[in-house]
Amino acid sequence: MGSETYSQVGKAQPQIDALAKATGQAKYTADFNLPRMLVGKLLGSPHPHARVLSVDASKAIALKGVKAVVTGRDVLGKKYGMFKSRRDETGLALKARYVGDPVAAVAAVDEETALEALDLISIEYDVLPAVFDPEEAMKEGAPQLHDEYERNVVADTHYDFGDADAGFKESDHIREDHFFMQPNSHGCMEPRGVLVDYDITGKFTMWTSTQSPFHVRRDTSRALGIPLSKVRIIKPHVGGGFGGKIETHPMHIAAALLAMKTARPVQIILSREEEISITRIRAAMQIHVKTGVRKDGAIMAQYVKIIADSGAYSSTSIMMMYNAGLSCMIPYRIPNFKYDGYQVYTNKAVSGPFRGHGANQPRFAVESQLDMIAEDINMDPAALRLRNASQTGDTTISGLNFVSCELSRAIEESTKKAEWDKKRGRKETNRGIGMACGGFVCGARGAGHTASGTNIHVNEDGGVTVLSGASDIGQGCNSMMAQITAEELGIPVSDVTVIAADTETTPIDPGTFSSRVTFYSGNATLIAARQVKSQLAEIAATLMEASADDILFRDKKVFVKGSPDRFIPFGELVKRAEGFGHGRLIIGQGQWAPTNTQFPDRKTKWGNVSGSYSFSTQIAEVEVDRETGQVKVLDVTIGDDCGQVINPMSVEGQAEGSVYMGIGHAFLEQTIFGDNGQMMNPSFLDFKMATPLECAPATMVEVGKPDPIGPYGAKEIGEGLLITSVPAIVNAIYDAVGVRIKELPVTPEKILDALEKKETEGKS
Amino acid sequence: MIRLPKMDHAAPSTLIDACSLMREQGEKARLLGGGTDLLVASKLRNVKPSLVVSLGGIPELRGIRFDEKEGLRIGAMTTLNELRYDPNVVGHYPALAEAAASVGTTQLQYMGTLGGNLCLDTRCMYYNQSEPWRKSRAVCLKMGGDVCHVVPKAKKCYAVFSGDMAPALIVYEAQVKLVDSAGQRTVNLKDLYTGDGKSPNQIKPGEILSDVTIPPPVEKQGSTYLKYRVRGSIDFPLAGVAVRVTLKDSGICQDCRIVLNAVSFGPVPVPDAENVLKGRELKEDFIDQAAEQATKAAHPVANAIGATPSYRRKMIGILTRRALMSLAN
Ligand SMILES: Cc1cc2nc3c(=O)[nH]c(=O)nc-3n(C[C@H](O)[C@H](O)[C@H](O)COP(=O)(O)OP(=O)(O)OC[C@H]3O[C@@H](n4cnc5c(N)ncnc54)[C@H](O)[C@@H]3O)c2cc1C
Ligand code: SF4
Repeated sequence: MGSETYSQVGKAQPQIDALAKATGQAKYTADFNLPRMLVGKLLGSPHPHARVLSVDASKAIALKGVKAVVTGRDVLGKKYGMFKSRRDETGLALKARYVGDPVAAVAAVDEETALEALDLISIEYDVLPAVFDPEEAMKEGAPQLHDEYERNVVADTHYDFGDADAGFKESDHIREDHFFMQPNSHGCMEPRGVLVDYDITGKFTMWTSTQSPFHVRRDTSRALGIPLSKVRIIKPHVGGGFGGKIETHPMHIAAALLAMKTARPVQIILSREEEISITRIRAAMQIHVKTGVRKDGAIMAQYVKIIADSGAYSSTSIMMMYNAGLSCMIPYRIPNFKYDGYQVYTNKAVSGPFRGHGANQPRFAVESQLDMIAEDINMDPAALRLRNASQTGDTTISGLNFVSCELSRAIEESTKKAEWDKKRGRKETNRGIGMACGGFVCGARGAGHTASGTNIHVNEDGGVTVLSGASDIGQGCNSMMAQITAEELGIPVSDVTVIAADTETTPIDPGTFSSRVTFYSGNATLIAARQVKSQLAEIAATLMEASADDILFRDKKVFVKGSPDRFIPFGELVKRAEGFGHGRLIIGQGQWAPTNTQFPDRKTKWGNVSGSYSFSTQIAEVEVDRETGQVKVLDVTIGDDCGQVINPMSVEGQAEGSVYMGIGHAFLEQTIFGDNGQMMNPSFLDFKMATPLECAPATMVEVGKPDPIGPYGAKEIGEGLLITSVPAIVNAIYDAVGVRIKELPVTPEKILDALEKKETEGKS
Repeated sequence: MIRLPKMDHAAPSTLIDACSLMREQGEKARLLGGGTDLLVASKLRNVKPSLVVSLGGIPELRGIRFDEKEGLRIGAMTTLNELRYDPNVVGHYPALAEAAASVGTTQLQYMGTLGGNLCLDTRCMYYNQSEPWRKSRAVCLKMGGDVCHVVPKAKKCYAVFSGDMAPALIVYEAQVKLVDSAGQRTVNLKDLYTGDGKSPNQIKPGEILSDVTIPPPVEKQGSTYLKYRVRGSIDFPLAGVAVRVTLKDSGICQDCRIVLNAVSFGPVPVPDAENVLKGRELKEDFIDQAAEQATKAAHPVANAIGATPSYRRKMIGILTRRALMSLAN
């Protein structure tokens, strides 16, 4: 959406770090080296559940080049974690809760020595019974992972809005279905790592691959019992996060401990195997959905029950289970809604936030079921969705308030573009078309501080420096902030330098998650840039004898409105500003959080967690080979309301990324666990992500209007689109060959089995 | 990133030097072709050679030579990419070019050699894992232990052979030359494989596979290689079928070779399927019968990520059928 009135906003442009990345100059954590740096390695438990009885590291310590070994006895045992009420990690475990759970770490002069040392550490374990299935884990007498959580239920979230029973009674048609969505890895290109420097004053400086430097600071300080201000986290370039890198990892604690012990810098870089198997994965969920509709398609009530596999630790469980239920109420008007969510510990790799954070799984279930309902009541699935679509101004039964919502337009425009009516129901071709809708928060209101901040200072030559705590993990928020600054000050993006993030020099920021960054940091940057602008405008007004309100910034010049000839070059204005008055500096400072949110009431759960919400429709076209069961995605059409687009190139990237990742989630990606809970496929060969050969072209129709709250009216697109990719594909498969896959991933074998079953049922 | 363990490297420039080096060093030395299998296995510590002997500097191991009367001779160090695009291979032995094009990725085809592909180690999801990973389980037969995690109570290892080139070569009756310091021998490629997942081929330590030879193409010969893998790139085969058919002028099938891949310890020739077709017209019902025989001959076990044994078996039937149908047309 280009605009006449904007010089930067709405203009497609490459990321400001694109060149550095393409040429290999961009520096990631593993690229940093410090003099006398040691290499650290983690030792994982070989058992899924075992108490560490004793550790004999004498042989390891005796090995030439080994400088230190630390274990669970060296950490304080102080629990850390993202949510105060669910802290359950200590860094190095005294009781291992899954295969690979880090129990010790070494630091040595090089990697080979460190690896050799790991082999020499001998640990005596008391092996405990383990449990791998969440439903088993919930049973009386199941092995208990954490003392505080009986029957292993770590999150227990319930909603009861309206009167679901009454809603079902008023329904003409009710369906109950059961779905399963598989666990999978984020598949970040950059395995995470950390480099810690510990200095003589007791200060830790850490360079680390993270989505949230301020969280890592908090947890490290807690786990090691050192003041927060003695930990400095610097985020270099990060090669993808997708939610997986929000939290603190045992490597952070281990590296800090080792650095303290050896008084030398220590670097730990995870291997690909570790990156996949001992960080975070997406939670597998069993999803039960019951929906009641009237004959005309109006949804009267919905009940959703989810059992999520937490793996060995809690991670963001309460937030995920909260969001899983909440997100069900975004795209459609649901007058009565009931939800029971349980997240359960098992002796497997840890589930955590993943692009979509708990919304993907129920979205897949609900959108699949809506298509089944549409068939049952003989209604077009697009019409059914239009009938129920949320609208601008709606307040949901749970208190979410939609200040802008173009979902109906998204449905109408995308179906038109995809030739929905023409392409549906052509079973004889083995081609099918399917859709799904979704909506997502633009940053969820958490307890505690949620604001983001930006500081801007103008350099003597007119170059501008932006300091922000936001974490660019590849999604492009540094470019977004540069673009906003450039827009306001009428300068090219190339004149803006963005420094982000460093806990000592940039404003505090919660981090990159919950699709909050453009919304929050964008607004904070806008405020800071406008402050700079008004300071300069005042001076320009004096110099050009005009009113400050009439000063315009464009093309690196500062004009008086209506007189294009009366201008001062931006750089010159800055210089002259310095000599102004007592010799002033031009500095802007912005912080922002939406004021229209309301933290959900503890009892009633009523509240509005986000300043605004994005909406989208995704339509997939597939072709199924009936003989092999193999599916090819042919085309994807997206109708997206992410508000005013700031950078179409970034938005396109997010859209394509959602489609490609969604294809992987629908068909390929799955972390597989062996009979001892060990991950069987911790490699990019066996954890299968889509290659370009599996991907399909994605066409996007922008349907959004500027949002009243987002910066220039921008909302989010990072997560909200991914959640609709999988159900659109699964619905398209049904349209193609009439089989409904309710357990992901869709494999050729499941399709063949379903086709066979359908045939025998048809005969009998 | 996992690092390679410390090892020495030698690069002889003649086959004789390579042979004597291998004799001197005994079992601790391993031959290095493109390294796309050996170096991965070394990183995972599946093998721990103290010396790798690179064959890359030996000119006599390179090159593709075609003669209408003598047939095709391929040096062991010929890369898969060279095979994929060689006009004689593409023209006379298309199944070979197709098989080469289906291996891993383009990058692997540039590095991977024919010799390395034929000597490829067998694979299993309990074996192709890092050393720390394997510590969570008892040592299995393939690593020198006495259990199998795939086939309980198994007396031998069921790791699967998945080299794409061997089945394609076997349908053309390929032979391989094995050279060592004591002399040389020629073996039908079909007989190179032992039927034991632990040491899948009968090449002795110190022996070098130097050449592959194929008889000249027969008239009215059609051949193809079809493969199933999860993704269109990167992945190893989960099922593969190489087929060669020679037809008489009458359209009757005179001779036929069908060899399966990725469902056993080695390539699996299926004489029962071949016999269905020999002397018969290449028609749909016979083709179906042949495909059924091929399915019967496939006995994959649950050792690969990506598909169940029963689906892999099903794919053998489908690929056999599709391969034969494409040749019938
Ligand atoms: C991600 C990935 C995907 C892959 N996908 C496939 C696939 O789809 N299909 C497939 O067939 N392969 C696949 N491979 C395996 C491998 O890349 C190929 O088989 C390749 O052709 C091996 O050749 P190389 O020269 O690299 O072998 P090397 O690694 O050099 O050698 C392999 C073995 O053969 C021995 N050897 C090599 N040359 C000789 C010789 N002349 N005489 C005697 N012994 C010798 C070596 O000592 C070693 O034991 C894949 C590998 C990877 C990493
Ligand atoms: S088949 Fe059995 S013995 Fe062979 S590698 Fe696999 S687990 Fe080991």
